Amino acid sequence: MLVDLLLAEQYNMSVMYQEAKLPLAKEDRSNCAHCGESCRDNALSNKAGEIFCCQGCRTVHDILSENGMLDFYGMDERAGQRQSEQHRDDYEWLEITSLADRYVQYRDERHCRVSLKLPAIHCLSCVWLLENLNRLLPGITSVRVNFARKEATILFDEQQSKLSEIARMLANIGYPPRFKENDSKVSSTDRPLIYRIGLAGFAFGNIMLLSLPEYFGLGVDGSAAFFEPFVGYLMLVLSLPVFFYAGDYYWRGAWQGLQQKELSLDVPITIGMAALFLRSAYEIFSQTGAGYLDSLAGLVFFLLLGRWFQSITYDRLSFDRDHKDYFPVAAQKLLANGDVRPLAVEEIQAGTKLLVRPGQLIPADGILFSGEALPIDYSFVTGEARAQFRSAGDQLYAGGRATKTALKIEVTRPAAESYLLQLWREKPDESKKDQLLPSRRLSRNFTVIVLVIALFTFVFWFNTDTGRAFQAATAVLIIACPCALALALPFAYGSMMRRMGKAGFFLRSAGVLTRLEKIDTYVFDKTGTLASVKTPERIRLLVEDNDKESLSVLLAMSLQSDHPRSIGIATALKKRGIEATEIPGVQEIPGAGLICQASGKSYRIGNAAFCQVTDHPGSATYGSCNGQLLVVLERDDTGPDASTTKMLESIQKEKLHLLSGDDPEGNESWRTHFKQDQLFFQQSPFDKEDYLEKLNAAGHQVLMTGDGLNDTGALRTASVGLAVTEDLSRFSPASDGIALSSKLHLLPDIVAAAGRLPLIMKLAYGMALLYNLIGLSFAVTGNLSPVVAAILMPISSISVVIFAVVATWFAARGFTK
Amino acid sequence: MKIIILLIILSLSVALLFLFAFFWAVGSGQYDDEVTPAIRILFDNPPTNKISQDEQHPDLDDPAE
Repeated sequence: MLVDLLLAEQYNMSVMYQEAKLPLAKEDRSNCAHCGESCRDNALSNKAGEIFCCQGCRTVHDILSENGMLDFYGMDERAGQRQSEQHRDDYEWLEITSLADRYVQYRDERHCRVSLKLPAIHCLSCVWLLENLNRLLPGITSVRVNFARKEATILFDEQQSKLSEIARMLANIGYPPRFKENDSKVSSTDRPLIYRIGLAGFAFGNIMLLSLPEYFGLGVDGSAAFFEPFVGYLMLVLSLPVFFYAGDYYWRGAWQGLQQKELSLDVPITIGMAALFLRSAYEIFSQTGAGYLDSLAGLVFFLLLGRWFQSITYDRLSFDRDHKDYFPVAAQKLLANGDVRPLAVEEIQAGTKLLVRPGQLIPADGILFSGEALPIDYSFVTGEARAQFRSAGDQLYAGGRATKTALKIEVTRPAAESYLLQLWREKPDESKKDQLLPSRRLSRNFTVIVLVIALFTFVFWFNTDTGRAFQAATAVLIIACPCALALALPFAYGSMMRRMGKAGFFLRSAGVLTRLEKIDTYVFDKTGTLASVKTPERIRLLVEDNDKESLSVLLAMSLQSDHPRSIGIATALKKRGIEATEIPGVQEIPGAGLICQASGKSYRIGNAAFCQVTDHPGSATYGSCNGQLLVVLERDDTGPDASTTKMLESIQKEKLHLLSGDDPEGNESWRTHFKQDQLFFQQSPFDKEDYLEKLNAAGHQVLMTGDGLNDTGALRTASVGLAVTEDLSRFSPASDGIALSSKLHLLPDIVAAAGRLPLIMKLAYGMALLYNLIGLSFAVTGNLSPVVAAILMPISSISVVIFAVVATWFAARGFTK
Repeated sequence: MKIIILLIILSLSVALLFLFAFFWAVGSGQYDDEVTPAIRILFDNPPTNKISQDEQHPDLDDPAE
């Protein structure tokens, strides 16, 4: 079972494969030759007659076929992912040496090495393609991919290829690099810990081997005079590095605890270690016994293993993304003569003039100084898909995206002080909150009781037999060493975390479980968590005689706008074979819709009030001619699906809250699952955060789920913030954990399982204390022989570990079956 | 029976050898990435690489170059 759990990490990787993309038949002629998705509507084709769903896919395929690298598609059926055309980054700023140098790890005249995060890495073909990148760009010497970390280390010759060219090439073949400052040089494995485990294991095995004659009472005939001292000294030498080097975590932990006037569990551990070592050294030097060095090495080895088991991390997932990950690293500074020059974002000052090209994010708050009714997409911040319109003189906030036209802005505040960044303002130290520690009371009481028993034992024997008094007192300290106690916690929590990972819930650290078990309130965000983002849109044509002429006017109008609803209408009309006609100017009225006068008729596209239709619900988008309704576009919101409904029903209604950034439109069935006063629409990011603060103030332990950047503040405020994503390789906001949306219905079971952990801990502690009592009965009577210690200590540790793992397996059945 | 001391020393030195091999393996980063090598081994050597190696041979043989 242990092995099974240790393998769980690897298993998760394969879960990730499955979630990343379902294999699709590439041979199907109606599917895109690159990504395999269906593309009947607006397919592009290349010379060879293959079809593509979008320009991005065709570009990748062209590059690969020009370079004879079509093997890419044969290697893994998940090769090729749909390209997102819209938000292609610009890598011009990498030409500024001072900015690019942050990512350079090594450089000499010929070579330059960088490590880039490529979140799009998802399959075998990706590794092959990237490691053969030198066939696409001659300047590249070699590429090494780290699949688990989704990272590529690239060695290249700067004379031939610049970093910006490499970044652009990577983006073109579908692996846009993500530049982040603070995670470039962190090693994923905790090497110091692995060294210590190796050393302690080595010493443990060898000392035990040398102790075997002692265990079985087998002296070596006639050689006691030299053999026993020799073996004793050898064991002492072997145990030195274990005592001083491998065990130093506990020395330091105990010392830090004492400085803060706290008796942490490290204190009795170090007392036990010191007693073991000194007593053994005394016995060996005085040649009165063989000592307990095997127990010492075994103890340190098991403790370190527990530490390792607890420290699993999901390298490929980021729980700590902040604004810097999404914000551009550089902006385009607009010079007086109209030229642009790249500028690092931190160098932006009030008064700087910037050009924000279509598709780019506004990096700092500022004032728009030219243009009229320019659409800006704030979906990144608010989750609201509708574009907002701004004209010259209007205030713009950082985080908006220019959609169609470039924006010229004059900055009013440096990027670091922008309005949006208030969402990420400093919170209490997250790492400290997450430390997994046994209750303070337990370790304090334990230490005090052990010291008192040792003292009494010493006093009891002192009058009768001084030698025995020392022996018995040290034996008490040795046997009471809370190894099993210290192991129960990491193994129970670590294996629970692994099981949750297997079920699609990835927690930032085992410490999150301690907060998860207390959850009494659930706050959901609707779109992206409970409801799929890809709610299909449905169009109804209301004209009975199929008034093609009017429809083609409406199509032409809808093509003029960037609004998602407008695009929806255009796509739907095109699908029905309508073609656009020539029309006079279209007037776009922000917040209402489009209006156009053509051939003496007034055409309108927009909401119900704007189109003067009253007998329809307000949520859809309409197209009308002279007040007569022609087109209705509805979102096909079918409400929660079966598993979501089941989950919502299994939680008490009082505990459920819904905070949605959307309009109160869509299916009425949402209302049946939530109490009226716990159901909110049109919530801004700050509203959400305030609401959670109110819940916190009322003493609730809140679990919040969210999917967008707009939820970041709320996720942090909640005691457990869970980011929900459909695909692990995609974006997710900073959070305590990441859950797959397909598995979200398991949430109540997950919380219930976490709630069983305290009971498991109590039982495990009970077991460990029982072993301690048995051991103490040997120790206080002065009868603790090295053999008893060598048997009792590993048995207690191992049985507690097995109990913890089995009990968590039992507790987790709710979501693993 | 004194030979047993020699044997113990021998076996310990062999074990130490392995311990240092382990340290070296950790230090050289072999445990940093446990997934990609398993994927990489599945790739055949690309034919272009072989050609470029062949092309390099004359350069190596001819010191005048």
